[in-house]
Amino acid sequence: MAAFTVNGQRVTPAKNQKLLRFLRDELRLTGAKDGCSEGACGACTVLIDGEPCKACVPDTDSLEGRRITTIEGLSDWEKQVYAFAYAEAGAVQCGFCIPGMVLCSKALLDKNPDPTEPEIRYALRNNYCRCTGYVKIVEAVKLAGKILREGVIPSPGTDNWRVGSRVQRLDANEKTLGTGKYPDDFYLDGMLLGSALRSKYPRARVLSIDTSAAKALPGVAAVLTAGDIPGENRIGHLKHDQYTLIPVGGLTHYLGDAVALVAAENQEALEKAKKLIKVEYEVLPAVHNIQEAAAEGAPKVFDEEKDNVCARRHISRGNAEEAIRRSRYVISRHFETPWTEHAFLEPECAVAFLDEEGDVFLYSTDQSAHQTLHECKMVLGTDRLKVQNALVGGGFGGKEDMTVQHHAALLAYITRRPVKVKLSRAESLLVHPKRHHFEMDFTMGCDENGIIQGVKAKVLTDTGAFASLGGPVLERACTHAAGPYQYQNFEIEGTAYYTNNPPAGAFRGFGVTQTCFATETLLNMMADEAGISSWEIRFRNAIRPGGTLPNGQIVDASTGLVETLEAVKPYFDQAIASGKPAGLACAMKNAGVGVGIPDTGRVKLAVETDGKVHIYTGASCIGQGLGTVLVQMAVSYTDLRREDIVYEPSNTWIAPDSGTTSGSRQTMITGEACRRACEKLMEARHAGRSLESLMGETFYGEYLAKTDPLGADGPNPVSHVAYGYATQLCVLDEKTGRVEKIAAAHDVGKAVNPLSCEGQIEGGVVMSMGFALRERYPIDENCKPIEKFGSLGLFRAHEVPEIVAIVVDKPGLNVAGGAIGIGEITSIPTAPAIADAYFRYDGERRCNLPLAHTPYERKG
Amino acid sequence: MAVKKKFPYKAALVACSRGCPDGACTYGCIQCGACGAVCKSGAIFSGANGAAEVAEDRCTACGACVRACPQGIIRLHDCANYIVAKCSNRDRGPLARQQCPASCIGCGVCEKACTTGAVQVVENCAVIDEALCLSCGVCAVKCPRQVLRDLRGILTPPI
Repeated sequence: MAAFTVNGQRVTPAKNQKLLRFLRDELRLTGAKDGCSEGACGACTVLIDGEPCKACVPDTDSLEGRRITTIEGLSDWEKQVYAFAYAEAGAVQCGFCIPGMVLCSKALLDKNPDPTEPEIRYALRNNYCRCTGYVKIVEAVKLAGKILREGVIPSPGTDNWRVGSRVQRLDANEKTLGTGKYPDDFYLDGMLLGSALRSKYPRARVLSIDTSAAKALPGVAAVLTAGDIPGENRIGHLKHDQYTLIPVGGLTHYLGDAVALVAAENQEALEKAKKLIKVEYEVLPAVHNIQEAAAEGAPKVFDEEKDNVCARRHISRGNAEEAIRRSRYVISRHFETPWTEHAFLEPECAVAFLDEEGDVFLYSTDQSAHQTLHECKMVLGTDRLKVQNALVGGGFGGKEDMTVQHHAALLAYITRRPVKVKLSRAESLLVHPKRHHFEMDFTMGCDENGIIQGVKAKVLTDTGAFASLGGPVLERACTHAAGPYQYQNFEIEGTAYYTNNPPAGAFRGFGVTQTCFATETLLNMMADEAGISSWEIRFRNAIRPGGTLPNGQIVDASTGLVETLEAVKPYFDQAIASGKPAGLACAMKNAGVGVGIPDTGRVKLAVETDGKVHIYTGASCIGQGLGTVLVQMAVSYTDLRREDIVYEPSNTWIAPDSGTTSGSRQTMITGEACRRACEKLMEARHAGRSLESLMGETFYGEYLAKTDPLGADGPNPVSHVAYGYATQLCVLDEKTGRVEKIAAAHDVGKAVNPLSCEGQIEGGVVMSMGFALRERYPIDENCKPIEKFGSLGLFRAHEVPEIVAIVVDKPGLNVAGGAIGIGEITSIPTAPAIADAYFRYDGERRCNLPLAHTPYERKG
Repeated sequence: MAVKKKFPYKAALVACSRGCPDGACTYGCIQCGACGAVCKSGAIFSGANGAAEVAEDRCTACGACVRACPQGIIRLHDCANYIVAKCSNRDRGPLARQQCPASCIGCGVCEKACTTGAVQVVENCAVIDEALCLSCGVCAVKCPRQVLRDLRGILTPPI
């Protein structure tokens, strides 16, 4: 047993364990976050004798005499400095990586008070961030250094909380200092740990499950199988084909399918019990890919389905074939894009317990508390359930489905005790739905001036082991494949296949990331055919206000594609003039679910006993900054001051359902609902009512974004209420072949918080640099993902080039003050822009991602 | 780091921590002094076990010692990568074990533990790809032979 100090206190752990476990489980210093326990992510970084170390690595027995500093051990002055610097720089999004980043910052600045930017990037390079692209974290370190040198914390850049102002995020302080709680940070009295035993084979029939030995193990509170589920076994967003537990006689669909659930007093008993469960399988041939799934007589992934087709879409307007036949230039290519892992920093975790009313209460990290409620109710067969969002450590689409929530709820419901279910990083990589692998054949026809005449395409997707959002992703991929251009002949056919791979579902860009790569690459090739620049061909084809998109929708006055093109033009011209390889791409992305699906924002403003207005909405903030957006709206559309307004995290029993954080929809859809609620509040205020006199009253706002279904009658259906537009430019260093700069111009309508918008752009661009250049998610012959978190190929702080984030603030629609969402589009045009830059660099046209033969290519 | 020229700083690294003057190991440092003789910044010193070691704060990464070493076991590395492999023995495990108490036996524990694929056993000896390494030290903590070391002396004892 070793003795050492933690934040100045002498401690002697009773047993040898990883430092992280001791800090969190025994000292309850939860500022050190558990993001992987593999030494990769950096979220658990602490200082040992002043040097940054990942707390999941050393054993406590090896720390004799050492001095450990956690985020909680910073001096009050340091806490103020770092909290201010990180908030002011806009460096905090989901926040899960931030305490680790702060300790890296401190280790650097303690030794080197005025570091250069490369020195800062090197100091942060062993810690991953998936939200920010590191840009604003580097800014935060610079600012913290300046404050520490000068000894004075300046005033915030602005205290104006109205729409359009670069205010500090309201949750930056608690996230920076590690006091904010993610589900894993809850330690309840008598809490059990829960975990699932997962299928040993991707496709097998479960013949028997013997849980007797596991149940008899001391420390085990429950071992559950499908027969113990009181309600429905099968759940899902739209299609209910995701099994909570595979029953005896049932088929497994992938290695992540749960066969049994265990709840135990501690981790050791939990792991041991899982090993004691005996499952007999009849191993069956698995379906590994799209070709096997589509083959005649293929094994079926689902007993319940007639074949392996999950969804099919066919969209046609005009006559694409005829238009292409009559085109001067015609290009056809086959494209493939890989599976991609979200790699949010916080692994899935849920804590469930019975509250004082006897309801199952769930702390959840998800993209919609109401969706979690809905699916957990199905499993439990009761309405006696409440869901509360804790902080959400990133989502990017990967937290839309049930992974741990239903298991935690079930275990708590049956054991009547608090239960925490948390995925290990390896489980997280296996279990939650990924970005779809796409195989695409595209043909484009243009006239002699480079004007697009028609596009015809066929796309196939691997949607894996259950539907998740595979159907809508395919649909969005198809509806947006035409690109943000004005032409009237477009035809696309898409099919999503079930396989025994991990499931695929929502991921920032929602299918458009993939088809945009194909369309934009063809357009870049077409520019060469027509003898014009890649900028000029886009300018000629660009959709403009009043124009008609290939889907028939007439776009409104807010359409700002041309403005984004003009915004990157100086950078493009400069790169060309200096002989640097430069690639361009454009994109459009819907804000809101669209295509006729009811899409409602709901906000309740409650004047509570503290005399303040509390904003309640069942809309998850997954790090994008929704709470700050809504407070800015409330300040703008009422006569209240910032101090009079409290943002409440999403829950299901006070906050009305405002839909999933998906489809770049919350800022616009929930924002407009908030504006409408503000209008009602102001009616009361205009009648002379003071806040005190309104105490106990609530004001409700609702907004239904009305759209037409796909294939609706009429020449000009409204598919989506709004679109965001973007142009991104990639410039390479002509000597090293590395990315030197990415300029990203985004039409966001009215930018509610330009600082947050820039953060979205920087983070989206860096995420998609990974998609374009390096990230992989290979799956082996046993349908098992191979990579660990550290080998996914995520970009690190010192590898990120200059990113010029340009927020094009063009007045938008007459909803939500003109704001249009930005979450997804930031990741869409990056890959084709980079691909074209490499073509200009070495003459090789690349149609597969990640791009081959670049300095970023992974060996092996 | 006063004498360093350019960021990111580099320094020489001797891939041996023991030194075998008796010749039991033919791969490691033979304590010939060639590196020290060509070093203009006085960065080379003799470590606790006799092998040549590098004081990174004095090293200018000129590469003279790399060229001078008759054993070919000195290379330049990135100072920011403080987790390093300190052995060059390419013999198979049982033999390497007999030759030196701090030899790599190629057991592969490091390779399995590494989350980034940075550590690999090549010809019975652990090597780190510094471009991939996240400097977490999980390999160093698990290495049964103290071949993988934390140059800061935190996760493993100081050299």
